[in-house]
Amino acid sequence: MKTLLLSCCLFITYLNTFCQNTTNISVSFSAVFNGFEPLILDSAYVLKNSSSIKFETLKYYVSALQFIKNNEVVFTEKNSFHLIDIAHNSSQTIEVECLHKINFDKIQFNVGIDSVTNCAGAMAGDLDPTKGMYWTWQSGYINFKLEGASSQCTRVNNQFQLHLGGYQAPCNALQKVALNVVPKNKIPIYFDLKQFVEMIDLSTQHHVMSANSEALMLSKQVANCFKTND
Amino acid sequence: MIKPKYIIGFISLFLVAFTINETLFYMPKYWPKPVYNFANNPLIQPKILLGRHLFYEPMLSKNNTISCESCHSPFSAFTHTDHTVSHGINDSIGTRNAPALMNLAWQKTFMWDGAINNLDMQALAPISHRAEMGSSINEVIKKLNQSTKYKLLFYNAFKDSLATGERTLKAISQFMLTLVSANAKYDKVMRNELPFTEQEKNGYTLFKKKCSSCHTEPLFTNGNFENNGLPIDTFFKDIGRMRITLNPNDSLKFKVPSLRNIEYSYPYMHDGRFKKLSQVLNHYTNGIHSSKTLAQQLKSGVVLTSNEKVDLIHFLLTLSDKEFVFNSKNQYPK
Repeated sequence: MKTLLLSCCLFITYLNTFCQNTTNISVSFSAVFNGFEPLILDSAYVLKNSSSIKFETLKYYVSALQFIKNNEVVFTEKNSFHLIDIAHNSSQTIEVECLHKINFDKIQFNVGIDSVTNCAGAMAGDLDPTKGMYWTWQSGYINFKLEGASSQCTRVNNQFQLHLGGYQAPCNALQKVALNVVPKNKIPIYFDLKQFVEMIDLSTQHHVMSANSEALMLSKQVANCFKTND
Repeated sequence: MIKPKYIIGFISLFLVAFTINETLFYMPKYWPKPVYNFANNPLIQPKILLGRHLFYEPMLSKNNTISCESCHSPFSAFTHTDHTVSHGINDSIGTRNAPALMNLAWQKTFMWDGAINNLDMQALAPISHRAEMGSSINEVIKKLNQSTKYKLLFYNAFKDSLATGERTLKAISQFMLTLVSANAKYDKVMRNELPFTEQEKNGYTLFKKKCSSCHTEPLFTNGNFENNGLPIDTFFKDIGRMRITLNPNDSLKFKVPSLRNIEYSYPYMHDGRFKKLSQVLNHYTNGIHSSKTLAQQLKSGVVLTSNEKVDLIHFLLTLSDKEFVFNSKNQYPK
């Protein structure tokens, strides 16, 4: 009996210390152009082939956020679905609450929405179809949306619209991104738009709006353009 | 010792019984388990009522003229009688025949080409289509949030008067899920409440031999996509399922429709090209257009004498569920 009581006490003390050690880590997502210069929406930039470009919309889903140490997952965020909208500052920071202090050397997340969630019906919050990130003529979330205009595009008003998504094989566009990071309470992650638009050919790839092999290829390139400044 | 599979079976039965309220949703015992995940959207009366109001709500369209009912009228088993392809806002003409709505909880995919993967998301398509309602879910939500009537209906359903995309779509699903048609003469015969006539019985035997591999009982569809040998319409040039999967093996395949209430849901086929059941049967016996993706079952043709066709039609008419078509709880809410 005494041992039982003692172990109960020990367990409660353990729980107590456990609870006191909650840490908050904020992961912020921003868009940059030319190194780490913050992107300004609707302002013109010059590309290396002296064409001009401006960006009007950049929205994408970050999901399944995880922290990793020595290739082992040490923390997985629950209900991890975040719509990052470069036009809204408040959407760009994810506050992660860990129950205990964690040590990590890598952060991992998906760009987009997994296939199970894609088939699960109507959902609330960032996944609500009123967020403009759900296709209507065919079921599925738009994982990544980039819109703007560039002198390279020969279409009406030089517009380009890249709506990347697709959850079914062979065009499952969901992308995993893993970045090495120095453990801190604030982790900034950058999406390098210059790198992205210089990787693709806007004179031909200016309108992608359905789940197909082109969307898949562009999605892979999106995944390569996330970086940290560590 | 009870085997674990029986325990799992018992628990899942219990869960199904727990999440599905049988007074709101009729599920015949001899039918398969529904596909719809009721645990994510448990039926309750105020949500069904909200969904019913939304189904008959012209505010869902850009200029407040077209509701779901415009193309899915209860008296034709929720399709658009007399229109080969449906027409929507500003008399725009669509490209496909509006499907009948019933037994949707058992349906795996929606639309003729299976473009929609979940009943909840179905309404987004007609709301946004420029030839149907020409609006957007955001516009609809804005209008609903300005309406005193809907504030109250949303409050009753969700204990919060705010309309959101999720709530609106789930409420429409709730109403559509209650559209169960399982009381045709066929069902009464299956339950030993009525006998078939000789002709119907003969038709049923023929049906099981010649039609049921695709139009499988008790839902009268296997939910798959097939090319049933229709010559391609040179105007619409509709490639069907291939538009979604981009797979040439799916070219000219369309979803096998249920035959329940077929008497009320004319015209037939994805483009409504046949007005009468006799034309449909003549297509299967004499009109099959051969192509690479033609359904296996149709490759060696379907043989039916004219008497057999008459008997088959007699059987098909036993799939008419008058109680469903005239059920006042499915109609415009007063």
